[in-house]
Order: sequence, then structure tokens, then C-alpha cells
Amino acid sequence: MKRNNVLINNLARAVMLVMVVGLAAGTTGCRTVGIDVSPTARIQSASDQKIALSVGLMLDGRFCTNSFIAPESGLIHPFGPALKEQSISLCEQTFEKVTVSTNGVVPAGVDATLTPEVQRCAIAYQPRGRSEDITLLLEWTLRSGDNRNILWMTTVDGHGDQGKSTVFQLLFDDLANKSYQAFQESPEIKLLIAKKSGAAM
Amino acid sequence: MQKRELLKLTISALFLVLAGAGCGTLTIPQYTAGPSTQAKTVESQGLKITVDPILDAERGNTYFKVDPANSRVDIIYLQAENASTNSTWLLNEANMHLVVTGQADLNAQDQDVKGHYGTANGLAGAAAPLLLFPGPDLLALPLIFSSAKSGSDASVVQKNFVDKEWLNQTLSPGQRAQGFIYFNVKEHSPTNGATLRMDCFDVRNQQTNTFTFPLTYETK
Repeated sequence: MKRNNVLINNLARAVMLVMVVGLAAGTTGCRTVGIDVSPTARIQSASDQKIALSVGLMLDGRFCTNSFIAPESGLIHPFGPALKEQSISLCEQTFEKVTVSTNGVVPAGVDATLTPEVQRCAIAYQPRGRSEDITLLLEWTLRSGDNRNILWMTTVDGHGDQGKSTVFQLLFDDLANKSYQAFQESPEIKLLIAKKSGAAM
Repeated sequence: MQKRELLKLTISALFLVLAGAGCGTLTIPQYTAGPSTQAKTVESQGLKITVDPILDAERGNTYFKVDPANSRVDIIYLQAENASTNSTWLLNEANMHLVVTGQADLNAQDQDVKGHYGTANGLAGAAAPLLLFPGPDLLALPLIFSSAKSGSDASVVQKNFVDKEWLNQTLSPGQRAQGFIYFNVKEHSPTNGATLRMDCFDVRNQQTNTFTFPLTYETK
């Protein structure tokens, strides 16, 4: 009887210990995760020949300061600065001429504008936080040179699903490669090039 | 004596943590089933759109880990094909609306709408500078976040919604795409009919082509 009481007491204490530790972990407040990635977009199959267009890369404050708070962990993921750097680098590797606009003013004389936007983000955690599995949907909109009419839109799904040390680099590599491929294969971009070269003749 | 008690206490706590955390990671299969027999297809100006609401528990549980009858998110499978030769169709969630009989129609991405039918689209407001994933009111998933395992399972379920989501895009001639759109449903009357309206825009010819799909809901 006494042994049973001791056992019950121990279990009760253990439950309390788990609850206290869990509560402490859950009330440590929001923490910010460091997004440590290469400043340049790492494109695996980058061609030496760039797309013969001059584009205005429209980066607004919402994109450049983008953050994602993971609902389960409360961790803040400030993707914005990396998204900005990677977008500029990606476009500079893809198009002949890139003019970056961060104030909403459409650069003069461009063939088209290109606007990136984060459509969605989600992070899944392994039990006990062993690793993260991230999906980020990045939307690209190509508009006419005056930034009015939509010419083409695509959304690429970037994934990173390994250990915490490499997950963000994998995510951004995936986004860069899929975006680059989408630009290269876009029939509307090819049409725009054809129109431009036709007009020049 | 105290050391022995501390040891017992530690072992008990570890046991409880491990029991709560479970061992495996939840895995959810990719959707490969395509449209079901109840799917509706409409073709206009070379654009063919198929809509298939996920109403059955089997597909809901298998591909989303939710029971459509008890969740407050409407899941609709969408397939589109551009069979035209000179049109490029823009299909984005901003131009997809769920219209309930007798209610004002709600834009899929309008976060400010506070209508009877709830705010849609079911997932997070990407338009906000700080991306927040939906709370329980947005994705009323039947999960209890009481342990490490269920917490990680919940994150897997939520991410699965994003992984399967329709990707906003233009479809050039010959292209096709598929994905899911989600509508958050706060109140769902079984007697009300609902219509999915999609305004597809031809970016080459600057014309809008509107598709409407009557949907029958039996969920609450």
C-alpha cells in the first residue's frame, strides 16, 4: 500500500515536472531564427546566354521585410532580406539588364517589370525538433513595361527538408533553380523577346 | 534515499515524455487520384476547368487528415487545361470566389471580408507583412496540441495544405495544372447552396472568362 502511494506520488511529480518544463519551453517568447544563406542565387544549370530583356525588378517593403512565424514553435523566420538578395542575384543571372526598384517607381525604358511575392509558407517539425521541413510558395508576375498589364505569372514551390544547418540554403537553392527554369521556359517571355526583336528590325 | 527518489522521478518523467512524443513522423501521401466521378467540368473559349469538392471522409482523411464533415475548411480540387491556341489564361486565387445563396459573395483572398460565410481563403494571409499561419479559427483541424508528437503532427498537417495548394499562374496554350483551393467556413448551412465562381483572365486578349460551378454541401 505504502509502495503504491510512493509510486503514485512519483508519477504525480513526474507529470508536474513535464508540465513545468513544457510550460517553460512554451513561454520563452518568440525567438528569431538566423537565415544564413549564400547572398548569390546558386543556379545549377545557369546558361552563359542571358534572356535578351531589360526588366524592372519591383521589390516592395512587404517582400523585403517578409517574416514567417511558425505557429507551433513561435519561431520568427525573417526571410525578407534573403529573398531580396536572392531575387536580385537570380534576375541579374537571368536577364540582360536588371533595374531594381524598391520604392514602387517603375524604372524607365524597361521591356517588362517582374514582381516577386510570397504566396504562402509552412514549416513542419519532426518530433522533439530534430529537423525542419519548409515549403515556401514564391509568386512571380511579369507585367508590361509600364507595370500595368499582366503578361505572365508563375508560382514556384521551394522545399528544404534536412537538418537545421542546411535547410534554408536548400530552400533558397530550390526556389532559385525552379524560378530560373520557369523564366527560361515561359512562352510569354519568349513571345516578348520575339516582339522586341521584331520591333527592332 | 533522496537520490533514489530523484532517479525514479527522472525515469518516470522520461517515460512520460517518450510516451507523449511517440516514435514516428506523420506522413501524408501526395494526391494522385485526380478528379472523382462527382467532379464537374466546364469548357469555354478553349479553357477546360474541372472542379471536385472533397466531401468524402476517405479522401479527406487520406490526403489531408481531416474529416470534411467536421472541419471548417472546404477543400476543392481544381484542374485546368488551356486547349486554346492564342489565349493565355490567368488563374489565381484572388479571382476565385465562393458564393453562398442569399449571401454576398466573398473573395478567396480578401482578408477584410467578415461575411456570414466566413473569411476565405482558408490558409494564412500572405498579404500581411508578417506571415501568420491560420489559427484554430481559420483551420479548425481536429487536433489537440498537447504533446510534442501531436504538435509536430499538426505542423505536418498544416504544411500539407500548403504543399497541395493551387499555384497562382498563367496557363499558356497547351499547358495544364492542378491543385487545391481552400475556403474557411465558419458557418455552413446544409440548406444553403454554394457556387464557386472563377474569373479567368486572358492576358493576351485582355478578356475575362467567368466560370461558375454549383456545389452542393452537406457539411455543417
